Amino acid sequence: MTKTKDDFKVDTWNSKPEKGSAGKTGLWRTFRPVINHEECTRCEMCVLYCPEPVITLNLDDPSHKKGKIIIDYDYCKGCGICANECPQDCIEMVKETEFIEDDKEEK
Amino acid sequence: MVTTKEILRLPEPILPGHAACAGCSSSLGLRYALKALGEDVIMSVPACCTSVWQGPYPKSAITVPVLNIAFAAAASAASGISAALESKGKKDTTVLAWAGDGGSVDIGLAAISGAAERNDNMIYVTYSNESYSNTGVQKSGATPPGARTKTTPKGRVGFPKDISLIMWTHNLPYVATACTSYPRDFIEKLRKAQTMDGFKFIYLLAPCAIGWRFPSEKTIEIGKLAVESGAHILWEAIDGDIELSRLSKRYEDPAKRKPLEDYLKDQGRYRGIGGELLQSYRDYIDHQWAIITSLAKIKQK
Amino acid sequence: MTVSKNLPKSIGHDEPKTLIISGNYAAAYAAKMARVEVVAAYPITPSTDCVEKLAEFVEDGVMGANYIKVESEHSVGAALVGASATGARTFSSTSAHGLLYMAEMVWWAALARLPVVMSIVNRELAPAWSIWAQTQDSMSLRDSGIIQYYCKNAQEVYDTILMAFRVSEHAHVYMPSLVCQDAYILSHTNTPVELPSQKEVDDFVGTYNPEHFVLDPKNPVTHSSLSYPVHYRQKRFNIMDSTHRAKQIIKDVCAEFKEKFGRFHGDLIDTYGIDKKTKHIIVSHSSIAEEIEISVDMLKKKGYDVGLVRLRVLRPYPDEEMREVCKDAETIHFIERAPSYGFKGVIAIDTMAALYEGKNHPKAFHHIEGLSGMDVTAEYAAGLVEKDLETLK
Repeated sequence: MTKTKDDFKVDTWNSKPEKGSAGKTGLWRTFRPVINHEECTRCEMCVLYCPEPVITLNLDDPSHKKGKIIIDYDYCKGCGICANECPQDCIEMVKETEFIEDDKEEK
Repeated sequence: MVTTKEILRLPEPILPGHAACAGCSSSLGLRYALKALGEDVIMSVPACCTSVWQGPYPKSAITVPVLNIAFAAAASAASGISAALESKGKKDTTVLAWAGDGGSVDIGLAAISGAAERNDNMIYVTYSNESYSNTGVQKSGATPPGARTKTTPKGRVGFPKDISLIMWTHNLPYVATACTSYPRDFIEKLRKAQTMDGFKFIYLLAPCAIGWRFPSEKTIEIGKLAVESGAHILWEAIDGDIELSRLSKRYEDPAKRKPLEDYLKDQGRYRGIGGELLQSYRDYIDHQWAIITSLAKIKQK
Repeated sequence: MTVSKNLPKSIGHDEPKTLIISGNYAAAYAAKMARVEVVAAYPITPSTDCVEKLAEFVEDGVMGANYIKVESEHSVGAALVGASATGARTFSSTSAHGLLYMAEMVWWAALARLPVVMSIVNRELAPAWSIWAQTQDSMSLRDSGIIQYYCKNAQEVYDTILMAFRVSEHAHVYMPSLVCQDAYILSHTNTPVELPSQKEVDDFVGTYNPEHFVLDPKNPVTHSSLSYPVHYRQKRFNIMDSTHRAKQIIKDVCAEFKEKFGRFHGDLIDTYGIDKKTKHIIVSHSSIAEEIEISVDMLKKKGYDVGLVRLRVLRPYPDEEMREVCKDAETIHFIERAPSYGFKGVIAIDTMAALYEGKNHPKAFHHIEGLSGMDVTAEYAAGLVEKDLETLK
């Protein structure tokens, strides 16, 4: 095609894959899932059914030989599926207001 | 059959922080679908919940190329993508048309029927929340009898269309039904479809907490109750031979099904719906079982 | 420009040849020789012949395009959008209601920046059913920015389709095109059309290599998701920039075509009998304009100082060129097929808007003629202009 002298480019809608496309969706939560890691057997049902997904099994965590279940609270919307599906019943949905002081400390 | 552990070890194709409602089974369904199909995929997505929850420009939650397209056009855009890939010698790339029930059963019906009749090479998944959820939950051709939507505020009258049976009459290499609550079954069906040439269709029941008005944590539970009560039948047809899936086989016997009330009790769209409308839903379920079980007796091979 | 080995075949054009063919067939040969990769087509009178000819080429094994026999024109548009987005050169042919049914996807192709090229046989809209010539079908889509050419004979249809691929696929443009011809008058009458050799066409048209976006799993992008108003502004102004740049690009491509193939049909406009001092300018389009060339000769013999401007490209509208041609004109006479109900003819409206910004505002006469393919003879057109000029006395 003809060589062009200027740097005009046709600009169309190319969205690139990236986390947080709708922002920090953790801000949507009214309830936060809290895991009881002692009772947790690392069955990963929560990882399987999370629609975001924000739950992963961190195999390198030394606290347990099978690793530790981590929830990314930056994006967790608090839907509660993980708590509802957990076969050990070890995830509790706790009101976000309980964490206001913690969040303040973190900042 | 793929195991849960295998599914869990597959790379995550959906990036969190997208715009789906909390507990959305459409985002969960696409997560499973892309785990099943891998990275060499191009998607055709018409106007539907997915075209919004993927997130606004300039970021996207979906890690494969996506062509968002007009409401009626998912199947024909996918036909075009498929033809271009073939023309360029890239037949291995999977074309995935991912559409809601509205874009498949109603406004998209001509296109999906045309693409199916031509046996154009793609996997077409209709993820159904049994309404036009994206625009605020209005009635679609897939809305079950008795269900309340914004355009059927007193409960839907009449039977819905069964798009999977409509697809079955198109002589396709693969037609199946699935549900987001059963990832192993869904992923297995997708992988089977991916090995075949031609037009493969999967109808995915995707319970919608907002539209069906149940608490978001029950998304998986409600999907299971749909199958356990017999309201949603899991089956697949390879080259037209229908077989009930293992998860639905035991519910062929109505005595083994959970009561329909168990499935409906947590769904606000059915609160206060009784009498004739509820009976019409029972009739519809019996009607579906009768059709599927008698069609399953026709073995074409 | 070299042709990649993966391009579809086009057999039977080792040497240039002249065929006596219709405008429909001329369009089909152009698509074939341009090595179109994907065709999605649906029959509609009177563009059906083109659709059938393409199918014949493919089934005879002389054209390597992937031909999708879609079930409606809306699916034609959608399939071409999908294929073009995947990096394929695409083509189709339609008319009237088919084009209107596809209108949503024509707009989509334009706003998505996909260089789909289509042959349009301009036909009257219903009710009532008519199969004859009128240009509202394609003209009604002009606001989308789709590039529109109006041809006066089958040779121009063939040549313009080749040029349309070059313009649409230019890295500064990426807009779809419609190459339009009048129903029956061009689509179904056979005239000599010179076809170059395949090699000459390959050298001129080249291959489609999109730089702006393509669906490719190796570099995934999501196209056209929900977007906020602030982003619309930049994308839409980019379309305005591109369509403005397309004017010069069209001129350059037409000049290149003239040099390589020895034929020139005008670029944005085509003139006949115009010189710097022409006082009375007739503005027309499509096949009527070819007839009016004879009217111009007749009127000149009678001593009238007239000339013809054939508007060849409706979008991007050649405002500077029209102002230049009309700068000394006293009167301007629009003879066109396309009314814009509620105002005047489409070409009259656009031209008057262009002339408003110039110093000279010639007196305008408006004639909507040739609706539903009614014959506009040279005598009749000359008579219209004569009557107009009588009123000045």
